Amino acid sequence: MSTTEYMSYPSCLARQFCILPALLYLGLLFLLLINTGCSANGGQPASSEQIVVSTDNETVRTGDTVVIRATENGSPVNDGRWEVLGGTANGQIDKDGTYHAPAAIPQPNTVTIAYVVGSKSFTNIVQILNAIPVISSASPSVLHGLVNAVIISGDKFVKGATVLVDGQPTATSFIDSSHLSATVAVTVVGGTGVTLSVSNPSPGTSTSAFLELPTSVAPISISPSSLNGGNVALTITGSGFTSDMAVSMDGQILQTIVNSESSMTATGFLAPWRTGTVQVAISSKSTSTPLAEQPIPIAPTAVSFDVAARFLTQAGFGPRPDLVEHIQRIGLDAFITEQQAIAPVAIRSPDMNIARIVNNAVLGTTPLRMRVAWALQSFLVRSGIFIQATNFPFEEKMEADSTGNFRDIMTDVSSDVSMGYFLNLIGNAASRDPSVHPNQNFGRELLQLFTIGPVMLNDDGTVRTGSDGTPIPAYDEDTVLNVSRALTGWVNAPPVDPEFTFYGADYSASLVPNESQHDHGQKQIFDTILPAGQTATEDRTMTLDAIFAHQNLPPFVCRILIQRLVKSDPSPSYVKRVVTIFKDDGRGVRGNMAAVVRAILLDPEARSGDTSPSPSDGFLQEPYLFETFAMSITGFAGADDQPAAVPCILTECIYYPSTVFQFFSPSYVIPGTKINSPEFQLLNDITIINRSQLLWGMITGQQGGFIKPNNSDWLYQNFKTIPALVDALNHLAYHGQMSADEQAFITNYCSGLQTNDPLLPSESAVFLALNSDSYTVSH
Amino acid sequence: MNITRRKFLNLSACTGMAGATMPLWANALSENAFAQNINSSSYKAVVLITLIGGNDGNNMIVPISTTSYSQYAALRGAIALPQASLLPLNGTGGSTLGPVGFHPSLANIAQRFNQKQALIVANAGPMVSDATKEQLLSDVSLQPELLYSHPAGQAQWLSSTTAALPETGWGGRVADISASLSGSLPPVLSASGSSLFSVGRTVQGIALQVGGTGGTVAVPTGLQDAIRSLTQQDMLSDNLLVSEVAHLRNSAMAQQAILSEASAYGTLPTLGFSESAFGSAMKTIAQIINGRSIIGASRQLFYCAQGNYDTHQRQLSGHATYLTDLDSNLGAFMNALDDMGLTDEVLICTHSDFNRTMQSNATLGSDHAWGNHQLILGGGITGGRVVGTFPDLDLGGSCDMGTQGLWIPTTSVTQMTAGIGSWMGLNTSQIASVFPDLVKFQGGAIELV
Repeated sequence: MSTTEYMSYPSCLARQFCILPALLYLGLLFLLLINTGCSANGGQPASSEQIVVSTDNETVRTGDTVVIRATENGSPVNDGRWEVLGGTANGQIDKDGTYHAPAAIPQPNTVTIAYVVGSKSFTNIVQILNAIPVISSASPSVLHGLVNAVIISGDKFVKGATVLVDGQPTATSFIDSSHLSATVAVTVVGGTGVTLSVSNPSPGTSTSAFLELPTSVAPISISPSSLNGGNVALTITGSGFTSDMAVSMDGQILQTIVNSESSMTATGFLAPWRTGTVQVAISSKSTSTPLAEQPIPIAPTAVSFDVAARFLTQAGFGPRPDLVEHIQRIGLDAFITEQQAIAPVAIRSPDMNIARIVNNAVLGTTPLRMRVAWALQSFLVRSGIFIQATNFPFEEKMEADSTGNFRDIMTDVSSDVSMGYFLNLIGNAASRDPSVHPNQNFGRELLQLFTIGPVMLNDDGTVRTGSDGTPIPAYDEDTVLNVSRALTGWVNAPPVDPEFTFYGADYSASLVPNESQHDHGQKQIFDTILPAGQTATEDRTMTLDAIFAHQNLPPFVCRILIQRLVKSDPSPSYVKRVVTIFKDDGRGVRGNMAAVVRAILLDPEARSGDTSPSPSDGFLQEPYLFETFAMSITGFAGADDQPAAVPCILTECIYYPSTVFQFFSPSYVIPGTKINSPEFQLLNDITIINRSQLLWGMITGQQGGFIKPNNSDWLYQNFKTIPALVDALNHLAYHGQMSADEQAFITNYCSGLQTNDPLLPSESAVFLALNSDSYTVSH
Repeated sequence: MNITRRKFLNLSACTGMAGATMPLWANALSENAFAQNINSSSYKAVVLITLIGGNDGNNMIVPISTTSYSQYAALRGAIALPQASLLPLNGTGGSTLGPVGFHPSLANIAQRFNQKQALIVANAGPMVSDATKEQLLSDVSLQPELLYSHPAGQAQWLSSTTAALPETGWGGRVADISASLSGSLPPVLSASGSSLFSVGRTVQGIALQVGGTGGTVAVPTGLQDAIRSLTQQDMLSDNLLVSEVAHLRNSAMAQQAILSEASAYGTLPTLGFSESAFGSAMKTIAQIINGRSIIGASRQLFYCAQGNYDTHQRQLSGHATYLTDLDSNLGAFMNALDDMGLTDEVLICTHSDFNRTMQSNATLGSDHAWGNHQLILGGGITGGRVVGTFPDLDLGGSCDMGTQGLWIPTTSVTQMTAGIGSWMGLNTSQIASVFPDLVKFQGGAIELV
């Protein structure tokens, strides 16, 4: 037991409330004294002089005093002298024992005070604490700003003092013991005041009394009063704005420009699938405290982002972000109307290659028109010659015809030069030699592939069967022969447009009749008799009219269009609803393509997958759509010929089918199942691997011919963390239906990648999302 | 590669089938389903080549004696081949048209024929049953469905049926039985993408990578593992198409390594394969056969397509080009088999949608017809002969369905393919199950040996 402890303890005796422990202590001491024989002086021989140095208070604040006493056997002694050890920095003591603490805390903050008698020194230790601060005033005396620089006046401030605003510490600078400067933020706009106090630091931390400081901050107004998704620009007016301010939206800091003391502009990005409200907050950058907050509603949209994104897998070439937002705002019906009113965009020299068509489909203004034109060309099949421009006239006709009438489509198909060459229509002459018959190629395929198909159909697209359960042929060989005869006598027109004239044939011109090559005999096509002596034009018109009137035409054409746009295996009732519109658009017109397309896209079975997925929904993306959808999502455009060549690697050589039998048959069934999925005809163990490789090459820039024009990095620019990017892919590419497991997997995988390549995590996320089977089937 | 029993049952429930088929090849299950193994003492393979579009058999095999040739030339008019250009085929004097010769482009095949390593199947086509012209014209149900249609014709040859939309190919059905002998890959391998030929009742085929991958880059290994994980989830998807795609991807990723190894095994001399798609395909098949020990197969079927034989116009030049491509690569392939010592173990045969009208059309071509002539090479067959009977070249006569020379077949596809099935080693009851309509044809299966 040390001398100090012994000496200091009796101070406790002076206070009644310490009696009990003091008694215990004295008791122990007595035991020690009789047991050890050691004196309580730590080894010094017992002396007749036992002086006790004590104090009322063992702590004293700077600038304060405390009385130290020296007693012997309870009586004051006065033959010694007081001494403060360590010099004047530790304070001073009067002769009467009044100890004056120094103005500043000494290091360490314990001071030994000794009472010296002769050669003996009896000590006590006091602890110096910081003074209790006093707050008296603040300047300015009224706060007008959201963030204010304030001078606090008072007394007994020490270095390290903190100003508290409504009890919360704020950045404080020590000026002198009477002045502090602090940043005072006003967090309740429109309130009446803040409460200030000052807190001195340890040792002996203490807080001053409160000082009420009135505030007068003008209300803040934020415009616009509701927000649209995408790029956001807020204008904030109020008062007291300084460069210390930052505006945030749901915690995300916006790019803030303080235009003046009363106006700020903040720009940022709001994920367009957000609904509800956002919290706009103004904060002080230096204090990180929020100053003002206001919820701003997000403007309701005609349809959700997710619905619009899914719609573009049916009505366009994939969910291009700006198009999605546009549809989100105007709705599906208005989009169809708007799209069908925009005329086709012609592509002209200098560069008429297929890649230009692809870019037009992905980046252009007529996605619906071009998607329908592509759907038509899936069964109205022809190929140009190796000069790519020879494909353009037919593409343009199909684009125009997508809002025309199917009867006109039939005329266009029968008069197009590239089709004429492909199916041997050009120069197919009547035969004077009975041992030679007209070429049957076009006549047969016109019936089998372009209009009515080979077997009789019900209005719901199902195959009619005879009593023995086998299908009923829709036409016989006689009909093929008669159609071939009826369509004899068509040749190239004299060239008019040099841009499309190759090897003497003007691919942009329609075929013209050559009566000397036409078979003028009588023919019968179904129930129509074509009398003898008609011109080539008359015969063609009656032939096409007869085919157009055939009961098979609506179900044959409608089921294929549904398969191409929406669903590989539509229910018979869906087909029938669309067939009804094909037969009569409501104004007595048969074959109104615009009405048919609208019916297909807005049918409940097309839209049910927006909210309630069904197992039979959707279609496997054929290679061309796999590529274009990915381009729309990632912002790539095509350069050189690559975008046309890529589907060819996956065995769909767009605009250059090898036979008239399409890339895949409408009736193709996945082997071993009963699932009708035409596109599956091109998917095998080789092409599915190549699909992944092409996608990886495209995303990482290793597949030649894909470039990113400026401002096309919508995904990477606006979603900079992996979780945000995966969320964006969920909405844009999966219309909100990416499973939680898949989201977690991709997020964890990409976030955990150890790599020096800063792009690899985000590229991997995009790749995994677009490679997944649940994406590659649009449903 | 093996799907679980539970998933198999789920799929059957979805598709409403009684459990007889599965979406993907699975060796173990087929072993259980077909306990009787065929005689597997050595390696045997069938290579089927479909001539897409309807090969004009009338100009592939031409009567060469003066009387018959004159009749031929009169009928064919501007598309007749010059008599002097025909390649004589020894031992064909006894055919119903007398001695015949090959189209001038078929030099290699002619040589093999004259070495008794090739034979001709005359006037074959899909048939419902033996029927006369009168019967056929009066009862449409006696005709194959959608006669003269490309897809129906092709499918009927590949399936050895007369249905317009058959569900299985005869190659797949043979493979159902031979699957246990196909090693670690499916029994039917296609060098021309997906084909009905490889679809069986329980097994299916896969496609071979022919030529390069068009300069695509490989996906890094770590990402491939990630793809596999995601695929496992997608295999359980409620969406029918997603689940099917995922199953295919799962199998494909497993099969890739074996395929690469097999096709790179050993050094096969190039032996004159051409750069055409067909040449690349035949070369790939040869390489895979060369690597059969990697796969562990003793019975395999291969599929390949060549085209386009739909010569509606300007037939002579186009037909010659394609036949040259066919001949040069078949020659190279037979040479490769010789080098591998497999000349008698690998059998090659042709199919085609249909023959073409004997009479030409106004654009120097011909249109769709029916009964056609096919070739069978290799396999240790007794070659140098014509199997079956040629039509009598009488337009509008008893062999002509119409007036332009649409020959009514005298040998059905099934009689031809059942003969190949026997060659593969199927026994009588297996033949009956794979080729159920064989009983309708009095002549029975053709005999190859």
